[in-house]
Amino acid sequence: MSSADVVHDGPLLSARGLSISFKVRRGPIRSTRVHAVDDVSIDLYPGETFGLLGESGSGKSTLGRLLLHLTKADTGTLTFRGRDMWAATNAERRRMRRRMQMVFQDPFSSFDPSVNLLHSMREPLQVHERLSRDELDARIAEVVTAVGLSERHLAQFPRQLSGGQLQRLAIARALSLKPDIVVLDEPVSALDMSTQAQVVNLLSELQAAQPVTYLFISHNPSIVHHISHRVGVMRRGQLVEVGDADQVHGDPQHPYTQRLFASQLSGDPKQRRRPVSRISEMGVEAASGRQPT
Amino acid sequence: MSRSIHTRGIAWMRREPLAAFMTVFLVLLIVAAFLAPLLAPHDPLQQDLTNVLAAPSGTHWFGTDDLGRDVFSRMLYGAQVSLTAAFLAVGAAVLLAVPIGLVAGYRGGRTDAVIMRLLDIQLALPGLVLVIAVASALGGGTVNTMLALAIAFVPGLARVVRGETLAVREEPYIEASRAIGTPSMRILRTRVLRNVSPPLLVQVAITCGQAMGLEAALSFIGLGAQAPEASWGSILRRAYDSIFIAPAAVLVPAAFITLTAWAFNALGDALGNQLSLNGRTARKGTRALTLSQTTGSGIRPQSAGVLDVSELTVAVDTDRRRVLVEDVALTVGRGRVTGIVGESGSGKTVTAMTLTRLMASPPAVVTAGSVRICGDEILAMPAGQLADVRGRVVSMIFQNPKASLNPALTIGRQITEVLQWHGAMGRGAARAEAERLLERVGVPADRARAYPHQLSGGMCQRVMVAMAVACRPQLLIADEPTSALDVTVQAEILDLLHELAEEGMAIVLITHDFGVVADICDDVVVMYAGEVIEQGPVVEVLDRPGHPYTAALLNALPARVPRGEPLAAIEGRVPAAGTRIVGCRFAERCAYAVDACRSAPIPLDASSTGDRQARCIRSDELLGARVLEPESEKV
Amino acid sequence: MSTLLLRRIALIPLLLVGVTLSMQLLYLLLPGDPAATLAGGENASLSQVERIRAELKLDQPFYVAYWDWLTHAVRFDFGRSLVTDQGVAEELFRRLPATLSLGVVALVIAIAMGLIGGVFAAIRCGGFFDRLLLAVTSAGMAVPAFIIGIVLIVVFAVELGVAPAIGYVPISESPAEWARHIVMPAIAVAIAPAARIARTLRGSLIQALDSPYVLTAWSKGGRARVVILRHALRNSLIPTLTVLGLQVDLLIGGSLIVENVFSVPGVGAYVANAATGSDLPVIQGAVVLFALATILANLAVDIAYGIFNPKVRVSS
Repeated sequence: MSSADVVHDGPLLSARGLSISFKVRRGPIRSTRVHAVDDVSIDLYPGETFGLLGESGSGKSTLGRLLLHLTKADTGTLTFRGRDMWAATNAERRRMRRRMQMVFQDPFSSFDPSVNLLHSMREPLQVHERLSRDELDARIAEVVTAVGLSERHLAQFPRQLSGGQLQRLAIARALSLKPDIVVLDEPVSALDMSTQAQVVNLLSELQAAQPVTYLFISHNPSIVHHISHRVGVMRRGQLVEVGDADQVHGDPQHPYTQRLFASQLSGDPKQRRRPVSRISEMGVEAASGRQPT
Repeated sequence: MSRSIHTRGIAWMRREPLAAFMTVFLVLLIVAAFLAPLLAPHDPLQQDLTNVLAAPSGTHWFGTDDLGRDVFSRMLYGAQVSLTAAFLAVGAAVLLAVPIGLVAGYRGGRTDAVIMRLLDIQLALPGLVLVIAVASALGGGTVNTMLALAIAFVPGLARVVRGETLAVREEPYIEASRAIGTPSMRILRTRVLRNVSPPLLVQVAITCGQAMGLEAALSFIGLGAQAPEASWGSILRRAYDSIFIAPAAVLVPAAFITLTAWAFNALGDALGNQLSLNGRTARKGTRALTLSQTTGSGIRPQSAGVLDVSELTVAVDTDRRRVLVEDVALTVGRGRVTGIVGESGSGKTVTAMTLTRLMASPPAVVTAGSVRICGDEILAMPAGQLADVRGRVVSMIFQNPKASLNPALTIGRQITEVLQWHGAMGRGAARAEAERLLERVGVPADRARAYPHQLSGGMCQRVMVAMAVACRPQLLIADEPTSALDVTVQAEILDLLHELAEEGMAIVLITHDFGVVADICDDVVVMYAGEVIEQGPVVEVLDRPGHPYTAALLNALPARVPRGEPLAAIEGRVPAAGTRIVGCRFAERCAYAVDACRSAPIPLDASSTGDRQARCIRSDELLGARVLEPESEKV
Repeated sequence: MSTLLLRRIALIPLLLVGVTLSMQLLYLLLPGDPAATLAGGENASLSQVERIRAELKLDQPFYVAYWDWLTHAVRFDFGRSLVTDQGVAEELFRRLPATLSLGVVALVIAIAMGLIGGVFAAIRCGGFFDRLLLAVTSAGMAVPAFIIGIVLIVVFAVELGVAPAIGYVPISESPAEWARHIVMPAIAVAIAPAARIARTLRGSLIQALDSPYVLTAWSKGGRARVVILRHALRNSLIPTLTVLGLQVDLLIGGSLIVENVFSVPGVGAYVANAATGSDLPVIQGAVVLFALATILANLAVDIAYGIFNPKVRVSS
């Protein structure tokens, strides 16, 4: 067994002081550095769903890529099952790589449009495992069935399937290597409501069947709260609040988290939000939420 | 399978007759050139000084040249020379350009910068000049011409490959491959190269056409093929030198060079269209220039609200049996906010666009119904009057605020513009009013001179609102106004819309999000597959939905479902727009469907409880029972 | 002044060095003894060969020869023609007016035809005129300019006799005669750029007409003329401008052979003649001129770009 397969107690993935900044040109000579991720420490435990909540430009997607080592951080440390990822040899890193997979926001562009889906689905197993064509296709059939699709979908091209079907395939592709961690970067934001529910349910079912850690990145407070065990809130590159999902949702501590959850739509016309802009503009607490007329 | 290729081929020929013709021409030409020794009726070098510059005849189909040689035979052999030169030059250039472009595009950074600076040198030098300079140093001859052409083509092709590689590299499916752990070389080979090839192929076809022209030019000035070998260019030169004696003689080589170069270009075009690179397949650009016809039926004597829609039916322009929206009726009064909610394909956006006759594409046409705004029939209005109503009586805001503002004009200008169109306001007054409007929606007045790209998405949407309300319209139609915005910004925009409604504006809000509906709407219209399936007051509908679809969508909202419990998912997908379905359109996906649901059209009936309507025959059961037993689980 | 523009201007000398250096490399491509080849091969006298060798420093490493050429070139001394022994710079200067007038007239024709064709095709997208324009422009982009010139001569000069076949009259001598002589070569040169401009404008205008901001303009009550001209066309001119800059390439390339066809005593004809005689000093000198014209045209486009595109002009 390789070192990456040894099970440790404690966090599966642990990051300390991760930072990355990008240079942005602001004039003929001047350029400033934008801290996309600024001194973030985070632990992901086996089998949990960690919801990473943040608005556009908060650095949540960049953090996801840093944790998967798809982008190299400027500073900080990253350990996977107690093993320093940056110190790892290329072969070790390759073994770690297959234990961490990713699902992207736009299912249509997540698959090579020029080949059929079977071709794309084979890629992870071909790269990481030596299997015969039959074994390969059997493994793919297994994961595809697990996400509620059938082999006939695989003969088609990405365009021919719906967003929801493709996103389920993307999840199947990520899970085909039986990874420890899957980073889900806004996996349901591009989907319709009913499809969104399908994918959220599917993720929960799959996690129940096979122990896997999700890092669920989203801008939507309700979905993050619904699916996550723990929640982290990002703002301007910093992780401003981390805690148990119900606790962060019910009793947010940081002012930004408070504003974020206050802006959340309840979905119930009898419990409407307080008008946030008026609170901030007038500096007075509105007595109650608006009532429908 | 062969039949499908056959029919697809015919469809292609019908769509691209020029390219189809040119393909046939090119194939024939290449075959003829290859078989020149067999086909040529005469020896191309056989002189006959007694019969110079003869007109076309039975023995000399294209006549003879100034030395009495048969032009038809010379053209056949010349085709060999010209085509070979073009193909070899382009082939060599591709072999060099592909690795250069791939490496520059995929590696990026310094490698790319160095390669690009070197390629820039070529940009500063016209192609023909470079070819002539290289050819003149190498000396004449076909081989040297090919070399010169190849050298001249490399930078252009490399640029295309690099550009496409850069674009492909940013595609999520490449990042997906990287996340899987696929090695870079394999990604380049299997993913990048495959997706770069189609646009490269287009460029290769066009370059072949250029090569024909450039080779002809070189041979024309005496640098290309050297006598006795003759390319089309040198044949043209000989004919040109006798232009005052036999002017028509130039036409044969001129026509063939032109036709061949054109053929390659047309082929490139057709390939590009196939890949929709050229925008020919672009949606109809003249939205609202051509007015939709209307049957003018459905006249209602009195108008109850600011907006009255009745029996509105919209179909595809080219095939009216494909109905996009069927029999929509709604009324919105002063100060009311009505939400039209549905998933993609529900017809909600088509409905919204029809309200101001800004038909969405594919070109849609109203086949029945009436849309009255403040009593005036929109569907029968002449264009001039319609332009007067838009922006003054009814305004719209859209999903993507940044793209919805003109990038070339300041936001102040875009607001004053609408004031001047409708208000007969002077420029100074309009400017002051624009600043007041900006302040009103929470944008500092000094931002009036800013361009849209300088503002955030939320700011842009505020500007859109300011522009929409500038002329104090009675009705605001907001099409997914907050879907592209962050949660906190969404809340601010919704507050702004709520304030407008409180001031008396009627608002139609198109959304896919029941959260938004619950937050600010008074009434809700739920659409599915082009039909209204339920409508009524928000409080009633959201509290006790009368249609299984509404119920399922509500239970798919994470905010309404306790944490850890599964959301209600609706299996299957929305039927494609325009599909004809007898009976309930949702039956196929409905857990409560019974045989009666599928046998006949379901009317939108008032339910026995409350002032709302649902298009479901089991609606009363659904409302009556606390939990209706799903049909699928009955024994 | 935007950063981009300053960088572009700073790059001009570098580009010129790159271009001229690559021209110097041409001497390395010469087959056999370069000096002998340039002198005209076997017929050349020994003294001629040696004179050329010394003048072009062909007996020394190419960078020495290039440095020598460069130090003279910055003083507008491009050496002498190997065939006619005339000063290259003087000769280029003498021929410039004819080429410039051809280029300018062709450019005006190309822009006019391109704009009109592009706008009408886009407005009636998918209609008969649009499909016609697509077919015609695909031919227009493919046909070499000199072939159009030859056909024009056959039809209008030889058969109909309404225009002079060849020759050139300076505008200072007789504006009317100048116009009569310039119109056919100018049309020949203008066809390809006109086709490209029309295509680009059509594409970008269709895209603009389909854009959300044009939808906004309709929705706030804009009349067709205002929406198309102020909102759509203005934005679609940005990509068209970029293509316009690239057309200088076609104008120069086209005029090279077209001048030869119409016997216009311009730079192009001079280069075409020099090319057949491997008269490299002439080519090298002319290339500087062409490169400068191309670079300046692109610079002009960059400046115009800023005027039309606030994203370049105003930094956020």
